[in-house]
Amino acid sequence: MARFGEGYCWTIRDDPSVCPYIKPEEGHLLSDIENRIREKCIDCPELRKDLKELANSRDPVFEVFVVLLDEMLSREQRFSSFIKSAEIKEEIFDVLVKLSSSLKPVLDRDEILYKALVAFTAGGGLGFNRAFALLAANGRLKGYFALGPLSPEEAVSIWNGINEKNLTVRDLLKFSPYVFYKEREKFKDILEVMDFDIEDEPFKRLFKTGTAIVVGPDDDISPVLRAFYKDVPFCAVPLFSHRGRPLGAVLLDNFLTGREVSHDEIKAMEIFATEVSIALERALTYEELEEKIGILEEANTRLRENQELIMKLRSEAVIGEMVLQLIHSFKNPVVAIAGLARVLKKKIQPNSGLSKYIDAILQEAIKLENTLRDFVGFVKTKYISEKSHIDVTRVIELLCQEKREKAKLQGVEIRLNLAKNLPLVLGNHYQLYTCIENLVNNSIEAMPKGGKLFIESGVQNGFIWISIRDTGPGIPEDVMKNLFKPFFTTKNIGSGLGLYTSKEIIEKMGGNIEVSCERGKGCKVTVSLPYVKGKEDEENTDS
Amino acid sequence: MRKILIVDDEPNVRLVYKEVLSEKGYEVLEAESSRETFDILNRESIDLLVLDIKLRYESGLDILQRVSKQFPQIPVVLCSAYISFQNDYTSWLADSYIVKSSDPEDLLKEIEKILEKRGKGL
Repeated sequence: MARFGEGYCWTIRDDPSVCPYIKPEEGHLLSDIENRIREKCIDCPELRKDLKELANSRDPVFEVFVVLLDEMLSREQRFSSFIKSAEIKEEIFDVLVKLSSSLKPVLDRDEILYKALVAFTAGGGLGFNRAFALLAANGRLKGYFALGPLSPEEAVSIWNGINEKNLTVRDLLKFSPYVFYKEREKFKDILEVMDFDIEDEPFKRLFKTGTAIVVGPDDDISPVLRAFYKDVPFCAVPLFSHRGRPLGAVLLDNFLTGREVSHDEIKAMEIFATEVSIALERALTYEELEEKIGILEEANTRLRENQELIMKLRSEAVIGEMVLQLIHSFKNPVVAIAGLARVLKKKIQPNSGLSKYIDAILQEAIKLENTLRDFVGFVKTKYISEKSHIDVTRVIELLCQEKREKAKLQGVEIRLNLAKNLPLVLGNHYQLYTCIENLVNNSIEAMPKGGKLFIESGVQNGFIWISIRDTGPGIPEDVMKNLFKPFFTTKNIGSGLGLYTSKEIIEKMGGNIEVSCERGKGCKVTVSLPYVKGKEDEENTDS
Repeated sequence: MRKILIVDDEPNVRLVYKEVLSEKGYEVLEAESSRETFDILNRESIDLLVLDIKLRYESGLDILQRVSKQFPQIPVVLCSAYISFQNDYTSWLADSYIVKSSDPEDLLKEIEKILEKRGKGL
């Protein structure tokens, strides 16, 4: 409709038939030519055509208008794409700010990963179709949570739902355990097979570069992932602790829309990932802390119990020792009195009148001597030889509790690896404690420059065994031979009764001690003890 | 004459042993500390040592250990008031072990046995 009667359409005033693009409600544009050109003609191909024609037929100067028009349109296009990109960035930024503030108070890993994946998939931001969160532990990466539709139909219903309810990013970021478990259940099968070595591709590359990466259909990746993604490209984003330890990874794709990811978005993903990493590390540390507090509380309770037991054992032993001391101090005078009475008796005439007095002294002294002898027997049975069923594990734990600090000062770290449900042994609690204490002391003393002390236990052939291994210099052969002889010692302090006493105690309990040494590699003392066969016996030997 | 050294911190106990052993024809020397013990051991040729396991300020066990190192040829009879020690530690460095008693029979028997064994060995 370039030509319109005598003139061109863009010069005609007040004729409704002049332009099909003017809507009825835009009637004012019929008379307002200036604004009509701005709002309508500028995008109308007819105007360009008319200007070209005018340039050809009337004046080449019209060509300038054509060039200007072209340039203006192209600038406008660039401008609007710039605006669009700015808008996207603004939205991403908006999601990031909301994610960041909404993650701040969270200490629950489920909630953190939920929010993270919402942020990665929220339409206003990066808007990925689908997202997976994997968590790292012990060199492996395992699928933990996923969010997104399974099919285009589901996608449409999700997006419609969000639009209908007019949900904002802030709404979406609110943690819903219901949605969390529903989504996790929905992706259960794939999450279960997502179990990778941290060295598997693309994770090796991911944690090496430390940046978000795009994985294409030709990249060499774990078969499980390839089978899942097929030809769909996806992004992988690493999650790191502040010390650079891998915490996990997020996998993102646009399997429905096929939208390509821009460079800016990759940068944005990394910023998101940093936020998520910080929150995740905090949560994991908190979890670990809670667990440790639990262990500590339990240890504390046991400590209290054990302290009572130690006190009991110690006090009984002390009473025993005290009584023996007392007996000792009575014994010498009695021996002297009775002994000298015997001497006297021999030296006087048998029929001397003194003889009966001497006999009386002797008799009384011997009575006293016998009483003392019986008393020693009693004390021994009561406090030193009383047998009971002993839980060796408890004895060892008790002992380590006592020794750990002292050992630490010497740079010796005690490591326990004790069998669970070790059967009970029969013996004297205090003696067994002393015996293992001797062995542990020896091992600690064998490492004056520090080292590790391993205490392990187990069950074998009707015996329980306890091994005490040090990382000291080992024992020379000549020393080995004499190890269990009484009074043999290489130490400056001590009577040399330690190992001998231990051996005696263990052998009295029907057990055995063996020492094996390797020069430069330390010593291993293995104690085996028969355990009490009881009703629980079968269960215990199985364990 | 066989020389026996008695190490005990109780003079009256030493007196008992001295009487009993002298009567049997032994020459008896006495010491009440490790210092005295080693003075005598270094000075005299002693055939046997009767040693109390528990002295007032020192342990007879320490003396035993030193004796068996420095004078391994001298047999030792260990005496103690503790009956329990005998049960727990039987084959010690000492050649024999007795529980102190006013009845000297055990001690005399042990001494004779050891000296006889040593005498044959020499």
